[in-house]
Amino acid sequence: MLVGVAMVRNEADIIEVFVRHNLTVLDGLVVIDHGSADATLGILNALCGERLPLVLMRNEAVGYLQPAIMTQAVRHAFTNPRVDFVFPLDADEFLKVSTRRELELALAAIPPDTYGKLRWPTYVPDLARPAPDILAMLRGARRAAAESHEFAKVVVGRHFLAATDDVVAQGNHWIEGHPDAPVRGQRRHVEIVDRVAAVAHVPIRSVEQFIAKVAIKKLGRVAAKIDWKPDAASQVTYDGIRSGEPVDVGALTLAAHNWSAPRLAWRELASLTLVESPFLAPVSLRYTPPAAANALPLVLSAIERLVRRLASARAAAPEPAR
Amino acid sequence: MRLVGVSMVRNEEDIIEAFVRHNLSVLDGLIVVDHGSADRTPAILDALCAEKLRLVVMRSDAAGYLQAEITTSAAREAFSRGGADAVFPLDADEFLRVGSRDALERSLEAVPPGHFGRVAWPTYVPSLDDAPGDIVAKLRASRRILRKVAYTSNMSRKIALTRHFALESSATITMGNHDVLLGRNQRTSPRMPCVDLPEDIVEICHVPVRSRTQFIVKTAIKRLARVAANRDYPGGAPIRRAFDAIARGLPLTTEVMLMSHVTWHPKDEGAAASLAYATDDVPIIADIALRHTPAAPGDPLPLVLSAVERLVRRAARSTGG
Repeated sequence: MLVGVAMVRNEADIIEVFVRHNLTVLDGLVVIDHGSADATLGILNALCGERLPLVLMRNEAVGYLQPAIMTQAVRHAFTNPRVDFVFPLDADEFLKVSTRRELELALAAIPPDTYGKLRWPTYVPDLARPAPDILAMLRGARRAAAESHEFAKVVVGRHFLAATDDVVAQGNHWIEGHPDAPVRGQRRHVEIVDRVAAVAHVPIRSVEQFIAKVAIKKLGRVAAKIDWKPDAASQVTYDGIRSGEPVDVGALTLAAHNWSAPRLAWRELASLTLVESPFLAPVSLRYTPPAAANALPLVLSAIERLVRRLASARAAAPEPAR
Repeated sequence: MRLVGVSMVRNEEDIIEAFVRHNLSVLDGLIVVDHGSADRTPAILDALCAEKLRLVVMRSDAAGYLQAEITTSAAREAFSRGGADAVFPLDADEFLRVGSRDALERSLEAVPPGHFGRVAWPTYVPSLDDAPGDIVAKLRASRRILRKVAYTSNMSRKIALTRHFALESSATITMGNHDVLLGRNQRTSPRMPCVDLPEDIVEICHVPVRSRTQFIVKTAIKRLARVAANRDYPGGAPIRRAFDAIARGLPLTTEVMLMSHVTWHPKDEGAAASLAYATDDVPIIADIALRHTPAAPGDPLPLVLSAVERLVRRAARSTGG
């Protein structure tokens, strides 16, 4: 039995297609909503109402806790004795498999005490000509023939349950030893061949989605006091948004194709060979709202939540000693 | 007689220049305290100072809702060091309309000892689109809201202070510049006695909503600042409904935009939905030329982000850890 686990926040544009698509490959999904301020939670509840093999959980903890929450969620998934493998995913990731049979054979071939790794190609839609809906956008997205980054996504086997020192690393890219464990560092992994299975990643879906993503992330980091450095690429992008500069679609397309790659490793668009490599199953959607015309509503909703949490934290904090 | 305006402003780039130039056509001086603007307001004020206008600009980065304290202090400064005989506390969206300066001075001189003056405060509504255009032309074409129910509480007027205020050391201006108390406690201190100045001599014309962008920025920042201060508006409050409309991407009608920024009479239920207007014979401001004001309201998101980032940074600091 194959199960996916995802931690999501503010993904109303993509969460339904994420669930419906990945359930064409997997036997079940556990989705943890981590404080969405948009329609994500409502959509997930509606999908649960359809009796899909979907378990919805909520986590309201403040801060950047993805590794801890995902580790817990993966362990929890294995408490069902029928679960053989768990795929930690993000809401913008879509399993792309040749056949379920080939995937199962590849998973069965993973050596004992070893984790699997799936290739993680980045897909980019035509940002200059927005598609009429999310399905058309995903179907029109293309990937580079060769990736700029070296990251993969992990697949976790049942031995994780006994390996109590092992944790899911930030970004779900690999399994590593807990910082307090006697043996730290990345555990042993084996790569599953791209032709059999990969995780298609669509981090940028539209200019407005990108603006909201950057703005919310920035303010979240300010609130958590782990702000970006002034010259960080994300900070430069945020500065542009805050100063009202229009987003350069060409620059955004370049950034999208080089997503997750360090700036020095970026490849120019002209040197990228873009290929059609469809990944989306024939699904149809019932609950996804039309694409937002601008980022402001989502940004405001998310900020209100953030400010409220900060205010609560301040109210709960002990008075400073006089 | 020397007449001085005092004002505390924040994020008023669309109107601050018109405010300064217009009110200086009536007053002899203006003291403006910028309270943490994140937009171009400070730059516009600096540019106006460079023109050698009778304008003093001060900055306050104090956190919290200190309008009453800051305005009281600025008014006392205007009397003591600025040589003022009368002070008008104004917001950046308020424009003095005076028929005759002589008549105004006589009216102020007639304020009895131990009293302050109250000034009529009509609300005006311009076209609320974001079309590029001159804010002066927009303000000149704005129309007066006619109230269904006469509003007679102290919230229906603004204040004009004479030297009797300066002589009364305990006198404190209330939040919103609607009243003067004899003491610092805004709930329990007694009111200073007052007289109403005739409406045909002086009015303070109020234009709280000028465009969709300005409405969004004002509503978002006002609400979020209250949330950050653990002083959110009660559920169902008009400003919360307005904020929700923005956050849900709903259409922003005139009713939505006015309901949260105009003080309605308690019995004036649904007033924003059935507004009646009057067009005055004399526009609320003179046909002045502006030099530093942005041509059109921009995208509200950058303005909201700039202000909110400051808010979040301050809130995060105060949570410790």
